[in-house]
Amino acid sequence: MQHFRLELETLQSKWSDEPNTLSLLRQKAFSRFIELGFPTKKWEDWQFTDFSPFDKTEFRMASAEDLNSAKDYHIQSIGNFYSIVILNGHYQPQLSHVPEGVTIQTLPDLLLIDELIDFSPSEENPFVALNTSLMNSGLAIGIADGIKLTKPIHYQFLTTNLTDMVMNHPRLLIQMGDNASVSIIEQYNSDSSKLYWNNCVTIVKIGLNSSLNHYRILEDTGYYTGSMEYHLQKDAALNATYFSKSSKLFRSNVRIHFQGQNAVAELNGLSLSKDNQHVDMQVIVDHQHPHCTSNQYFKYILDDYAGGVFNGRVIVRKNSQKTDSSQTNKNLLLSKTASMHSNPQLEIYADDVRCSHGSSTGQLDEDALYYLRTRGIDISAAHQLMVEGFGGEVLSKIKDESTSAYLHKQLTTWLEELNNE
Amino acid sequence: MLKIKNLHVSIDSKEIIKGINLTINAGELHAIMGRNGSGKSTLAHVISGKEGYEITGDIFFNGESILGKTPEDRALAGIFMSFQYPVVIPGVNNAYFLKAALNARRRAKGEAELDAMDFLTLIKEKIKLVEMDESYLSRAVNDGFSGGEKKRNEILQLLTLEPTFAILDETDSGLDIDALKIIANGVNEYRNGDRAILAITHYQRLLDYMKPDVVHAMMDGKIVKTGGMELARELEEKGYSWLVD
Repeated sequence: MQHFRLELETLQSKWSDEPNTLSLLRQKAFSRFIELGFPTKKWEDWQFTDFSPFDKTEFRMASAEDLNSAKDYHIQSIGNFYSIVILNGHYQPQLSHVPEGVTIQTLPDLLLIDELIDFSPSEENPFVALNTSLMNSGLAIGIADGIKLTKPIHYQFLTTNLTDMVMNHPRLLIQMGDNASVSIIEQYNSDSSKLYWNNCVTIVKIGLNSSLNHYRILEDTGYYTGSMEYHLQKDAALNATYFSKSSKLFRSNVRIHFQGQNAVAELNGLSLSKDNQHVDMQVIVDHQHPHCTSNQYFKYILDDYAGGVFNGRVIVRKNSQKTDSSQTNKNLLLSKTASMHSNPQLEIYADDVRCSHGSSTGQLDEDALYYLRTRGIDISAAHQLMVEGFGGEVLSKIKDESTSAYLHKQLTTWLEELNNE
Repeated sequence: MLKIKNLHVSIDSKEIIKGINLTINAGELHAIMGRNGSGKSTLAHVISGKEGYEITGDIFFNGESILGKTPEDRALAGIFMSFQYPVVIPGVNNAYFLKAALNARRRAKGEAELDAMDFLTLIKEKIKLVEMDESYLSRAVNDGFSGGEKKRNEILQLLTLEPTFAILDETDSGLDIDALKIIANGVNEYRNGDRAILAITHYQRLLDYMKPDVVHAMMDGKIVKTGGMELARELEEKGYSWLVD
């Protein structure tokens, strides 16, 4: 843990002109991180993942020099979108473009936002504590009341041409006012051959009667840890899809807080992994108000020695009558050596609710393969068709057509690469 | 077209088919009738190339032994089976699947692949023949289809892929009389002098609409009697027990 302390000291000496509030916040969060340490096998919600690589690998903080090395970067285009670009941890206003009614704030202005400095000393996620203390790129996207965008906003976090093993601790706040409607694509990609680690915290506030489509696309090849907290006010709607492929080591915590009635959260996920990659997702949906709906639909496709973990928990509190909730986790193992831990849970304290959950893990259906083959489709094409169909069911739920098409293409390419290996 | 020679088939050392000889020529429709467990469906799957059987004897298709061939190679050579229980394939679009299958068959025949537009024109024509709604094309293969819809989807594939030899494995089971007529019309549409059909069934009623050239009674892994339509009527009336006497 010593090198994290050194990194914090370096960061604070570099940014000695930081406001005192931020400096104190970093210290407070760091103390909590030290208290907690990295998760071990004894931590129930973290037990299926080995977190020791985060401690063993001495990542250094991204700095200004990493921006200098980022010359031939390639900005991805998914569609005709507004854009926000972060390059090796640095916000690039000259590459970013957002419409009227959308504001962007960066550190240290961010400190004016209460949620940011409101770090709880009882925070239980060490990665959130570490992010708060080492936060090196903070960005807040504000969406004013009544703003309805037809084009999505594409937030791109690009890691490129690193000279060392680097870590970033970005903080993203999305604050939507009332009666607004936007789509935000949060994409992490990289062409770096050096190992790196992005430890992200995203906080999303969706105002009264507002609707957000949020797609997180992870094409990272390094380590990723992330925490996403959503707060939904009355009549708010969230439609989220989490796509990940190729992460070496991935842990994501998603938490939904319903803060008013009639809010709806649709959460979908597709994760592709192979080699020794490891993907661990925890999703907690907390129903604290009546008449809210939540649906979870998560799928994993695992090949080689890849490992997957899905921990889903739906909590329906006492006063949350008429809650409608479903949770599905389906996993496809393409090899005998891939493994999956699936653990969907329900905690219900109200009596007039409709809740369902289910989980299945298996290999490709032999009968279906045979059926396709009797129609003249050869075995590898039949495999491809079935796996694409399995994953495609998640991607078809994405409302933005270009994003859906982009991810279908990613899935197809990933499968073709598997077949060619 | 199809020649089966002294075929014996076992699963886990249990013999299911105990010596079958059968020749089906182009233009013929043969029916195999028999009780549950007589080996009819096993015969269909062995011709189609399902794995997991111990097989002796041989099956020739257009003069060539097919036992060493994969299911897809048999399909590309012109063999098709309408499944008794069509398989649900979640997430795989029905039209996309049909187009992939048709183009695989066209490539094998040395014909140009159809593009999306030409395929759509073709499939819209074919789907009318089985009186299915076009919405079934955009759904996942057999996903949420009723029993009758699944069988119609099989016949739609038959009409689209245009194989030279078709096995109909209990295509009539679970159908009401209207659906049965639609299926029979579809099969009759497919039928011509260059093609042959093997229809497997429990009941005579499908055969009333299809008029088989040859009817075989199968019991305990063997063909025990062969005749014409009158045999089908006799089996319907008297059952199968008289055959053992």
